[in-house]
Amino acid sequence: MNKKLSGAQLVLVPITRVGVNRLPFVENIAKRYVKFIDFVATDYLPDTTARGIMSSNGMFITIADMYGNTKLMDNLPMSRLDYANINAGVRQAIGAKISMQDCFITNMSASNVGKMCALMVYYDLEEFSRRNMSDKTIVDFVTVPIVTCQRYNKFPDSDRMAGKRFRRILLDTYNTIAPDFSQLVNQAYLNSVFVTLRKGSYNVVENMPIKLLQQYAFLEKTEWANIIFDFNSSYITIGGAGTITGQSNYLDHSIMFNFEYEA
Amino acid sequence: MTQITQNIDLVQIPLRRGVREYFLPNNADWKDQVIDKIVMVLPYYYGLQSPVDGAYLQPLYGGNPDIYLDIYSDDEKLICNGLSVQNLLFQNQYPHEIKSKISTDLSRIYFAEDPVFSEEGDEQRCLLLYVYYGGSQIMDPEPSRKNVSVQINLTAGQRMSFREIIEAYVHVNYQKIRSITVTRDNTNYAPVFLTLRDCQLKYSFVNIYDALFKQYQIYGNADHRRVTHDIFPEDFDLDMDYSYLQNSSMVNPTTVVITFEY
Repeated sequence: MNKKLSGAQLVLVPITRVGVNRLPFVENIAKRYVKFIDFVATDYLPDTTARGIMSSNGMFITIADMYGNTKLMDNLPMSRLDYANINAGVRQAIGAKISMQDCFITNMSASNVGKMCALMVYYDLEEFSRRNMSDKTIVDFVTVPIVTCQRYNKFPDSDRMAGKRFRRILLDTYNTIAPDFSQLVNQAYLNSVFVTLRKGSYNVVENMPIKLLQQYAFLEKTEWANIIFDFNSSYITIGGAGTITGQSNYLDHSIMFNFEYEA
Repeated sequence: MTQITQNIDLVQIPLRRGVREYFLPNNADWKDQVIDKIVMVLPYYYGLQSPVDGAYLQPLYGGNPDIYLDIYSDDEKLICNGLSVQNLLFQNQYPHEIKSKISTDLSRIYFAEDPVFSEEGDEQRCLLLYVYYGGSQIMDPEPSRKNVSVQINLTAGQRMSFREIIEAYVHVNYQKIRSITVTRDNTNYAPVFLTLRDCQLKYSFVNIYDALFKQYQIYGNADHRRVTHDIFPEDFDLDMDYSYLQNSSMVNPTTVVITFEY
């Protein structure tokens, strides 16, 4: 399986009971080849005031194939999908088309009831990815100013990177000031920041927690399959739909990425 | 395919108060070579000293983490614009790969703000970089069949050549060594630097910080991660007298477990 990522979408699973909680149907992922699923431990979620689950303890996931009658993962401890956990190791591959309605989370913890379990689903998206045409790459930085603690903190236009094919998207969590002297959001508050990369009207990457882009911390190399997207329609979302506490930690600050793309 | 590193050069950049921008040296051996990657050693805390002259390395905490790299290729194209320090650190499993000849006249390391120095003193501070160059790829090599580990105790400032280690402690045909890895633990920890030379002087690994050869992970400790080491070139004929370990601390003894694969 080609481990390079193309499509990615955050799926929120309402945990309504102790026991089985089914995944919602997501049209973009249906009939798509799913590569990985990450459990995302975050409190504030994009575009909702519902709170997220901060720990994978007491949760197990079952993934069914596209016909719904074969379990690709049968009650796998959710901690195995907690990629951002320092002890997690490499991502657990799925490598198949799945039936989301036949997938479920078995929740054993009463404290999780009423919250949302956030799963980052990575799937094959051939329409917005390309093969390598060159070995040479260029790295640039982009700072996204945070003007609202909700959606649509828009990426700045970039002539230099317009129409490029992107291979790596890197986040540095130590920096406090960007090369353009923007004040950066402190690493303590990055858990509630999500990025959406759009091409036209399609979300190539939708609500991806930016903490998952911190390559420094992870054992497995995260690479993208020369994905294409438009800067002028992509944006950052702060979780909580305006209810997040400590908004001054975000407003008047910026998020900085390093983008590596084909030269 | 496996990437082989043929040379790692140590570059020490002295820092000055009020100076934010530093250029790479013009007279380095790798000036006209294809650079594989540049790895920066930023220890978490103050106290690590350079093996060259004892200058203190700029730390990550208590120093200034806003360090960026601009790299120009030899034909003056900007190939890295504002690459941030976390993508260069030695702890990173996958530091950014440059894979190009670079212009040392234009390429620079810079701080977004003035570098922070401690208030106690005006002692010399530096940045330590390792430039990997001259790499090549080979088809999947045969795996090493044997390995042997030996624990070495180094007193403060002690240097021990590989001839002393291998002849005294390890009975192995040293001409067939495929790789060397280092294991450290948190107790009794003083930095150790390795210098590895081959008899033909074709390859050079000078004063390499031991963390670049580490291959272990301590759970729950963010300071130590598994770092994949590069296998040595197959024709690397280790010069036993001029390859050595050095405890760079002038105060503390230390213990190193070194593993030879052959």
